[in-house]
Amino acid sequence: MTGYKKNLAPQFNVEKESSFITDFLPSIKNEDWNYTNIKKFIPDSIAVQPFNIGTNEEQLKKLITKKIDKLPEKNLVFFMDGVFQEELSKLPTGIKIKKLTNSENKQNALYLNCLGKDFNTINNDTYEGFSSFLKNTKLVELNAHLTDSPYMITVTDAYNCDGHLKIIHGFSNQNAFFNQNRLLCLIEENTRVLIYEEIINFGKRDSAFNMVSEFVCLEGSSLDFFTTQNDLTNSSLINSVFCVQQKNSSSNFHFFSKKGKLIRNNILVDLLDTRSSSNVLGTSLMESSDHLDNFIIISHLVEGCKSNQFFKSVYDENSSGAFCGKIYVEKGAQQTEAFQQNNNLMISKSANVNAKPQLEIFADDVVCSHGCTIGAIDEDMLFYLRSRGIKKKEAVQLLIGAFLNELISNIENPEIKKEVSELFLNNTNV
Amino acid sequence: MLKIKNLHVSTESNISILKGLNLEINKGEVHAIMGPNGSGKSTLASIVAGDPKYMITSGEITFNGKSLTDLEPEERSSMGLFLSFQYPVEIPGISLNNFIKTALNQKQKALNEKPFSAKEILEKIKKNAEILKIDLDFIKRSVNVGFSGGEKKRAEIFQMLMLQPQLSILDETDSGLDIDALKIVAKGVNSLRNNNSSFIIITHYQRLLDHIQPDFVHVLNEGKIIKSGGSDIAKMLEEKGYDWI
Repeated sequence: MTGYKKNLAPQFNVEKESSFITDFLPSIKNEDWNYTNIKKFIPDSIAVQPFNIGTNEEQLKKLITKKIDKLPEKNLVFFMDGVFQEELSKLPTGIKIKKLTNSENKQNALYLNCLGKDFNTINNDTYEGFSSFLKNTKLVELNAHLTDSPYMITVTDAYNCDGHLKIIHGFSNQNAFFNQNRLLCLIEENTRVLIYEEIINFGKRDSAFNMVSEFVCLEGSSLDFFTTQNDLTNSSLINSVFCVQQKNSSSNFHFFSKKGKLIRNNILVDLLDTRSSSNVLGTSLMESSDHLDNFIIISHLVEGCKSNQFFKSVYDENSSGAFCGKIYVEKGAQQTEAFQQNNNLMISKSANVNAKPQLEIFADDVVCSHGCTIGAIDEDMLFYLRSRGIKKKEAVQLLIGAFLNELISNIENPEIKKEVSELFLNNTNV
Repeated sequence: MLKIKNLHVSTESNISILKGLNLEINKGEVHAIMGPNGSGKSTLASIVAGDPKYMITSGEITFNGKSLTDLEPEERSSMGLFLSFQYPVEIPGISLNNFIKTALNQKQKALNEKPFSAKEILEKIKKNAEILKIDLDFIKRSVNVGFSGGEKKRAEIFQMLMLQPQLSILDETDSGLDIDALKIVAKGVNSLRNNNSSFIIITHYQRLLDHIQPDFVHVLNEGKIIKSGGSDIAKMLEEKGYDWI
C-alpha cells in the first residue's frame, strides 16, 4: 500500500432534506461522544447557512467595525461565511490561497490524501487512519456535504515571518444558522509558520459552527497553531482538526477556550514518519452553563516520534466538561515518547468534569505516561494568601491565574501571549 | 495590644487543643513561647491568624481592643497581624515578587490609603532583600516552590519586613536554619523591632533567643501556659528539659 490511506470516507449521496442534519449528529451512546449530548446544543430546527451567501463589501465593513476595533495591518487571512476576502486580507509573501477546483474536490471527507503528495507507506493494513473516528463522528462528512470545495492555504518556503499569520473566520448569521467551514493547510518542506486563528460570530446568538481544518506538515516543517474560542454569543462550536506529519516535522497546537455554550474540539494527529513530533495543549476557563469537551487522539505509526498532550481547565459556576485523550502506538513504533496530562480545577460545587485518559500501545519499547487530576482550590494555599491581606475573592482569582499560567507563560510570541493573558488572567498579576 | 482570655480551641474534628489560655502582649514587647511537641503552640499561632481549620469554643482574643473572633484572615492582616508559617506552603505559578506587591496594595486599599507606586515597592524590596541577603532573582521565583528550608523561612521574614506588621508571630522560624541563616533572620526581626511592634516567637531552642532578646518567656503545656518569666526560663529549659517544671 502506498500513499496515505485511500478512501477515508465514502462518497456522499445524501439528499438535502430538512431533517437530515440530525442523522449526522452522534448520540451519547457513541463512545466518542459519551459526555456531550450534541442534540441538546444543536436543535433539529436549525437551518443551515447557505454557502456563498455573498455579503457585499459595504455590509461586511459595517459588521466588522461593530465587533472589531482594528484589523491586523499585516499577515491576515480573512474569511467571511467561508469565502476568502481578498480585499480585507493582507497576505504576506510566501502564503498562497486557492480554492480547490471541482475535480480536485473529490468530496472525500478529508483532503489529506488527494494532494498528490507521496506519504510514507504505512505497513499495517489494519490501521485505518482517521477513518475509525470518522465512522463514529459523521459531522465531518456533514461538513463536506454542506460546503463548497474548500480553500487551500499553502505555506511555501518563500514565507519568512517572525510574527504570526492571523486567520479570521467570520460569520454573518443573519439568522441563527448552523455554519459549516473547512480549510486545508499545507506546510511545505522545511518551512515554519505560526497561525493564530479566531472564529467570530458577527450575527445572531445561538448559532452553531461545524469547523473542519486539515494540516499537512511536510518533511522538516514546523507548525504552530493557536486558536481562541471565546464566543460571547451563546453559540455552539464543533472544531475538528486533523494533522498528518512527515519526517522531522513538528506541530504545536494550543487551544484557548473561554466562552461558548458548547465547545467540542476533536484533535487528531497522525505521526506518519520518523522523528516527527506533536504538542497538543489546551488552556480553558469555563463559566455559566458552558460545556467544553476536548477529544484528542495522537497516533504514533512509526518509530522514534514524540508527542505530548497537556490540558489545564478551570470550571466555575454550572459549567461542565470532558477530557478524552488517547495515545495510540502502532506495532513497531518503537522508541516512542508520548505523554499526556490533564488537570482540572473545580471552583464551584455545581461544576463537573469527566476525564478519560486512554493508552493503546502495541509496541514494547516505549515511554508513555498519563495523569489526570480533578480537584478544588487548595485550602492551605488560600489561607496563606489571605493571611497576607489578600481578600478571599482575589486570592481565588490569583490561584486560578497561577493554575492557568503554567501553559500561557510558555507562549513565545509576545503578542499572542499578551492577548491570551488578557483573556484568562485579566488583572490577577501572577 | 493582643489580649487572649481563657481561650479554648478545637480542631474541625472536635479535638480540644487549647484549654484556657491567657496571654497579654503590649506594644514593643517580645514574648517567647516554648513547650513540648503537641502542646498547642502552632494552634495558638494559627487561631490568632484566623486559620479556618480551628474553632474557638470559648474565650476571646482581642487585638487593639477589637475582637478577632469573627474577622477574616485578610482583615486581621490589614489590622497589622502577621504569621510566619512553620511550614510555608508552595504556590506554583505566583511569583514572590507579584504576590508581595498584591498583598501590599490590598492592605493599602483596606486601610483606605493610596496604592504604592511600582518604584516605591521596588525600593522597599531592595532594602529588605539587602537586610536578609536575598538575591533579587530569588524574588522572581514562584512562592516557596523549590525553596530550601532556610530559603522558605527567609522568604517569610522578607514578607514580614515588607508588610511592616504591628504584631508578628514567628512559628518555629528557626527550625531548619543553619547558624548563619539564623543570624540573618534575627537581624531581620531586630530591624523591625521598635516601641510599636511586638513579637511572639515560638521556638524549641534557646539559640534564637540569644540573637533576639525576649522580654518574657512562657511555657505552654497541654493547652495552657504553665509558667511565665524572663529569659532565664529558656536557659533553664535548655539545660534541664521540660521535666524541670
